[in-house]
Amino acid sequence: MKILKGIGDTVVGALPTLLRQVLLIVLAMLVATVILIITGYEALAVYRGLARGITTDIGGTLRWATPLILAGLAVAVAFRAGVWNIGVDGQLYLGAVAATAVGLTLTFLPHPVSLLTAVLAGMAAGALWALLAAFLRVQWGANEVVTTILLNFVAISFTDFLVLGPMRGTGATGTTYSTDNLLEHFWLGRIMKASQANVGLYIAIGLAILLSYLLFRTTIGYEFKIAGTNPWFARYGGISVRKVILLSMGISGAIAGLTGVIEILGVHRRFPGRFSVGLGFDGIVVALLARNHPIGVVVAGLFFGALRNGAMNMERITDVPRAMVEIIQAIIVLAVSAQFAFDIRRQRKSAEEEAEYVAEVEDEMETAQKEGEV
Amino acid sequence: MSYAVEMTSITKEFPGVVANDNVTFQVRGGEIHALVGENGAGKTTLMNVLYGLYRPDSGQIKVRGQEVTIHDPHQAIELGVGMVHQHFMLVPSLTVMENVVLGKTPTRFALIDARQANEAIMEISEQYSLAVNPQAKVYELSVGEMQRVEILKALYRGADILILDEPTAVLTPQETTELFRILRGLAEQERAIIFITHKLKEVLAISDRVTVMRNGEVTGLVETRDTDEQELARLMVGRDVVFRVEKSPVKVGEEILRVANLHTVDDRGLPALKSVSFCVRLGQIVGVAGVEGNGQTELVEVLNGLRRATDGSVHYRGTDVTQASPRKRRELGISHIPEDRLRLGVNLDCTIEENLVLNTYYQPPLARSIFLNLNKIEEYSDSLVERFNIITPTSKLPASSLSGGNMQKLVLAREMGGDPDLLIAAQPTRGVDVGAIEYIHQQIIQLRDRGHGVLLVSAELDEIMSLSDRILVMYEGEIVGDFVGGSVSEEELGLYMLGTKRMEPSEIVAS
Ligand SMILES: Nc1ncnc2c1ncn2[C@@H]1O[C@H](COP(=O)(O)OP(=O)(O)OP(=O)(O)O)[C@@H](O)[C@H]1O
Ligand SMILES: [Mg+2]
Repeated sequence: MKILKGIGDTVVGALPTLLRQVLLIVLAMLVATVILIITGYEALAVYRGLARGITTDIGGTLRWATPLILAGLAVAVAFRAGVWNIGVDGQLYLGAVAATAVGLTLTFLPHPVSLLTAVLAGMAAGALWALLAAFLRVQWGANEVVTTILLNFVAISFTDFLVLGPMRGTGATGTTYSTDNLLEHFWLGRIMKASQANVGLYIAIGLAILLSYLLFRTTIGYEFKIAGTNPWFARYGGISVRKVILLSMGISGAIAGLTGVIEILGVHRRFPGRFSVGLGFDGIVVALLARNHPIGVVVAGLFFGALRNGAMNMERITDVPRAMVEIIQAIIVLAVSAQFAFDIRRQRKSAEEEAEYVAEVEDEMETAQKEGEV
Repeated sequence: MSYAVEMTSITKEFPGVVANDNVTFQVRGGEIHALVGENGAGKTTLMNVLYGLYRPDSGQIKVRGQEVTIHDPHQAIELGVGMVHQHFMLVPSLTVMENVVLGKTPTRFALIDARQANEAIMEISEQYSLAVNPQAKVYELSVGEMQRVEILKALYRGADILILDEPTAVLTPQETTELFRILRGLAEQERAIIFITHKLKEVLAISDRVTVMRNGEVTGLVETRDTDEQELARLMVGRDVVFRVEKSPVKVGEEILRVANLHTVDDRGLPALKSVSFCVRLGQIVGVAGVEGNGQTELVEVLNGLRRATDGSVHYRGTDVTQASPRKRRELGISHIPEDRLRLGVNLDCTIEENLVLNTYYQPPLARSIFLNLNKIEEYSDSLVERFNIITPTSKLPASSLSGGNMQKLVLAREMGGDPDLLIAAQPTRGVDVGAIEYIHQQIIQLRDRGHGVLLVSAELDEIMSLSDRILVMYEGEIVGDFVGGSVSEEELGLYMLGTKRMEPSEIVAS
């Protein structure tokens, strides 16, 4: 009874937020409509085309929703702890290339072990790349927004090098370079006919539920929230802010790596160079729209998946250019970021600056403690 | 008779609370009008309505006889209403000048006209002797200076109705005297001053009239010269308040905290503690008196593991804890009520519940390994809310929805709820109403009566005098006086606090 009431309360509690986000999208669409009309397009035709694009191809929606949900979860988890992971793209590429490398070299592994090894390798690669940024932050206070962006370039160029060099497949050309196909026992199963939607979707949804549990029902989630909102308060209460930064980035990077792995094993089944079309960036938007709630990320991921896939199909089945949907998308992104910027402005101080300072002091205290133990 | 401000039948409801219930409030030009009342009585809310931050559900507002609807602070400012908030609203990384002109910037070719801005600021600051350096960055300022910047900002924007929400809560006695001088000057110019405070002595010292609120309603409007502390307290709390603390002698037990030759530096790297030594025993309240900024903050931080000692040692129950982490100290039974309530004491973005379990969330029965037991957490925090009388409709609300005094009760509940062996309390009654002060004092004394140790750091001499079994005086990072409670007068302590008198190290037994 009590549990039921608890769930009821949670749903009711989330309603205003949900309503607000839906309103935000409706508003963005209205603005987009006005722009379409002004630019001389028949707005209704665009929406009709989009609707057809979506309804005729549910599988495509799910195919795209999967990486969007995963990337969104990666961003959201770090965000909850007050850390900005803008490096999902880089971590995703490294995860993908690590899984591919396993698939190409450890071909002798039997079926479930093969998949598991590839997945773990990819997650580890993503996590390590993210931890590098986290380490720079806790050790020298380097802003992770900057470092993760820079590390993106490094990671992506590195995969370019691998795919053009040592891992280059037969028949690859300069523009469409790729590795060889992976063996079948490294593939993730497809879940719908004539679509690239794959088991990754279940993994993404399962992960969202798991993360909700982690964030709202464990001491780790509590520490993330406390340190993410007020690092001074966290330190005062004996919570190590550095631990929170490292752990949240590690988890975030592992999920980003998994995103890449699932794109490879579930969709491409080889590593096509530069396969990710802005998944990391879209992940940020998904997380913002979902206000960093894992379950919200699933909903927002499905929404953006539908939009992205619908736009691609629309171009095929009607004569409305895809750019029109991109405008709608861009306006939603703007609206979401505006709302976010507004929230940030209301906060009195940047928790980030504080966290850096706290990390510094903590560092000093730790050295002191070590000296004391000697 | 026309009023500068006339608020009639104002009602403002928040989900679950009626913060203002049919409130009528009038202020004359040229008067200093005190607004007092219990924590959560609705004072800040009423002023936020006047300043356009909240829209009242019903009621009307007249400014200088004109009926107005105030939609936002911009409009309030245009009407000449200025507000200095309970919690300062300055941008720390900007200079004083930039903060003051923010929102009303003199520009020249789209750039800030720094010269003109500076001149305007200097003019106002000279006129009212509000000494500030316009070029200083706000984060470098003391609280007293920040407050002067807030007042300056309001005056720069042309405020002739000035609201000050608990301006003296964070000031030293000297700064308070200075503030009062400024306020009198402003009142002489026919400006209306609304002054919120919990310190009844200040009400009697500075105001012309007093409006008392309780539970969202006005319970009294009196001329200051016709009233006294007792009557005001009764109007506020609805019963008689005992100002004298009842304290029976207790046999002191063994030593629980020993500080020896402690040294540390402040945030700027300057020495803040110089060879501080003392001890606290079980069943004893040791009070640390001193003008704020003489090392008390740093002392408390070192004792709680939040600042590194550069030399010396801290022993707790005989074990060396000089290098112990904050969590380790808490687990040993040391509890800490911090003076910086908004940064350390509460996390405004978290719920009341989340704030209350900060020290216990990871221990059974609230958690088993990493898994939280949300039911137990709710039970535990609800019991604290009830025991410490934190006024809120539910503990699931963010801590930012609490009134200032109720935030302090939250801190108290968290830190005293676990029955600590040693309580380190810094400014525990800052910003709380007379009824709550009485309650907090009782709690501290009960803790001592049960045989626990208390280190009390306070800028309120009254508090130190009435609670402490032993009084230490800090001046410039050193302990310059050591007295048995009750054996020294307030005047005498004052001399030590100002550094005029000091004891020889040999006289400071501190044990
Ligand atoms: N934004 C808000 N949301 C919900 N409740 C609120 C909000 N602001 C204030 N309240 C509630 O309204 C009541 C009045 O609060 P207010 O801050 O006006 O009290 P106050 O008289 O200023 O008290 P204090 O002396 O402690 O500062 C309190 O019960 C408080 O919890
Ligand atoms: Mg208030």
